[in-house]
Amino acid sequence: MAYLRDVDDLAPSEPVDEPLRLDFSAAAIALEPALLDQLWGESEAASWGLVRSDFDRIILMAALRQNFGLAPGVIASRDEQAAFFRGIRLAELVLASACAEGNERAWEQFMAVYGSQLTRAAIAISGNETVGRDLADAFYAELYGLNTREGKRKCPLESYRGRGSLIGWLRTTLSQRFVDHYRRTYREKALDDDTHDLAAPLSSPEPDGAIQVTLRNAIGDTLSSQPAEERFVLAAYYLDGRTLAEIGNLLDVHEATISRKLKRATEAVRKDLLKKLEKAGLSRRGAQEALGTDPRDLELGIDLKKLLQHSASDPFREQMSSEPATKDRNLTGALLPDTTGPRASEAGSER
Amino acid sequence: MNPTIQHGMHPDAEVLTAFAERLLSDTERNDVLAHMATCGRCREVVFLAQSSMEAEEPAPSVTTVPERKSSGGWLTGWRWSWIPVAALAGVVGFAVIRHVDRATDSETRMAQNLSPSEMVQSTPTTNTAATQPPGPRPSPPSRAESKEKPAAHERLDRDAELDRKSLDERDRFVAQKKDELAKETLSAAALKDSGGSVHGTLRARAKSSNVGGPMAQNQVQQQNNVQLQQNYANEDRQVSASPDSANKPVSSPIRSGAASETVTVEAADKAIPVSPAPSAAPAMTAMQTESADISGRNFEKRKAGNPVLPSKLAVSSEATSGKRIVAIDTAGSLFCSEDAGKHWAPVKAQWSGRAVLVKTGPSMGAVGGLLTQTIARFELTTDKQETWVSDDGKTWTLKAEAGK
Repeated sequence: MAYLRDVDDLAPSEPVDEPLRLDFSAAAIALEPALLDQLWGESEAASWGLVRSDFDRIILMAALRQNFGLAPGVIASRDEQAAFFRGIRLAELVLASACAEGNERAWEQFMAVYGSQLTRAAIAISGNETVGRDLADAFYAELYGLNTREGKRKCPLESYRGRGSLIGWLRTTLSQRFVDHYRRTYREKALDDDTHDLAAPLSSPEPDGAIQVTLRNAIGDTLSSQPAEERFVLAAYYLDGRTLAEIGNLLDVHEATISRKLKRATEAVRKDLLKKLEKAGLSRRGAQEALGTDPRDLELGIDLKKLLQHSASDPFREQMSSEPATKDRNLTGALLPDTTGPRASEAGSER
Repeated sequence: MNPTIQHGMHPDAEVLTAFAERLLSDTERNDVLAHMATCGRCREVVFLAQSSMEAEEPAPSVTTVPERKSSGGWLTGWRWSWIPVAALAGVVGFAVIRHVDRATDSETRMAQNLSPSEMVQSTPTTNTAATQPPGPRPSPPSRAESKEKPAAHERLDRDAELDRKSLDERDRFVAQKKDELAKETLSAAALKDSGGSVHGTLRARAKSSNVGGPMAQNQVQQQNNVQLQQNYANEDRQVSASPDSANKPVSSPIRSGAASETVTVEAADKAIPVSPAPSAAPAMTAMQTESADISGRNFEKRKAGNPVLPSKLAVSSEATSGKRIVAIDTAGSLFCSEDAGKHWAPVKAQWSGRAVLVKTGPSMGAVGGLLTQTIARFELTTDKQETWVSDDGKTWTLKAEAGK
């Protein structure tokens, strides 16, 4: 028996042999019973107490939100449907969705699997056990749906789509919460803190003079012409003070490769800058002198930061107290004629 | 571009997680990188999530650093190190054993070089004077010892020079007469040994103990040992390396093949007259004879070469002419044998003093107007510097001094 079913229909139903159809926003989604049975077995949701009707509904909602990974309006075939479900973390998606719906069994399973991991991740992110536990508790409350919007319960787990691992998603979300919280608190305590005095140089007037303007424009053009990965590496290394190992781990390459990338990028930026400055009317010697000027004298460090990123990352530099040696890096200093970029030996020393 | 990464928007946690877990396509990855190049917040989020993941799971890291590969414990890390360690231990152990052996050899050699009196005690004074002393025999030289050959040569030359000077002063009156004998001995030894002039000289001096004395014998032994180092390099060293085995009567083919013994045998077979040093005490000589007998080396051969005198004393000097042999024992008594040493008869002293040396001297004669030289006359020298001559070894007449 074929039937139509609304997403808000929470009435339990038994699995049927007919294709499950769901009409939503003028798009009809039909799932074969055999595929549903297969997914039900693979998800192992029955082990922690999820009923089949809730599973079917969760699957349909996930497919509806993402349209099986296809463009909107495209009808997915049966193979495309199967490929979509095999490409996602089905079991974790079902668990997260059940938690978002307030399933108590799902919450028990969630806390049993991810509770301690989440607490440890929060402690590692904050670098402090007390702050980490507070962060984890606040995040639990948010996940549980204590926050409401327009009278409706709001659970961040609803946004999980199963593309990556659930624990990875939880860590990333936790990091976002921590970063946002830190930025808020940093701004709030700036008035009665010593850092208030440090804000003065940041608000210093823009460098004036034709050379500075020319140099700033040339740097902006040069950096924008670099590949995205090189720009990311430059920003992470020179602005955030990340180590070669950290950058390498994130990009899945060896730290020596990052070192070479940095060296090539700084050399390319320097050459491009010299060309652009010469095109702008500066002599070659004048261009080299402009590059060799101490960026602190020219206050170009702020300009570079603004050119590279829109949001300031200075508060996070202070947070990274474990890397004092990398705080004073600046990209303009790396562009000096005698600068050869990061040394390969740094890879080992930074560990 | 992903809608969540458009300008002014941050990629959501799903995309950032997929980026950190390398699940994005190249296009999506470049979009995220381009955003993070200008977004410090997202960079911080990604790096914080990455650091928390590494803190939670330190082991799995895709960008494996070589020094982080070891995850199987210290034994696994040292698994391949055992091979060079074992080889090094073997080399060290071998070097220690060699060092101990060399120290033993050096002590033996030092005892031979620095204590000539001890060597005299163990050196036979009969015609086995050039034989090896029965004391601790130097072990067969090794390859390492052969490298010390130049130094040993220098030391031997220096010692031989000193020995030569002292003995020449003491035995000045005999030296000139023994040069001819030494040359003959040298030529005989050269048939067996092509070792060079230094070897030959020392060998001759050792055989004529009046010239070289026990020290020269020792030098010859050492030079023979040095010369034999290469021959012994592949031999089993345990036979002679042990002091106990060196003191035992040796029947080993290695020992019977020693060059020093070969020289001794040649000297005995050819019955080259060998006389001990005149200053050697009779008691000492007797003891040396006993030591030589105890050593047992080529005992039968040496027994045939050593005349057994009626006085039961050792021979101190001996001269041969055909089957006729004239010998002086250590007490100064003269004996004569006409059947090549099988039977001996005492010769009554016809001179005053004590007979010290007997030899065969040239006898001049004129045949057909030509001056001929034959070796048929015995010459006997007493401790009073008198020379007596005899044709048959029994009847002696005082030799007229030149110019008298």
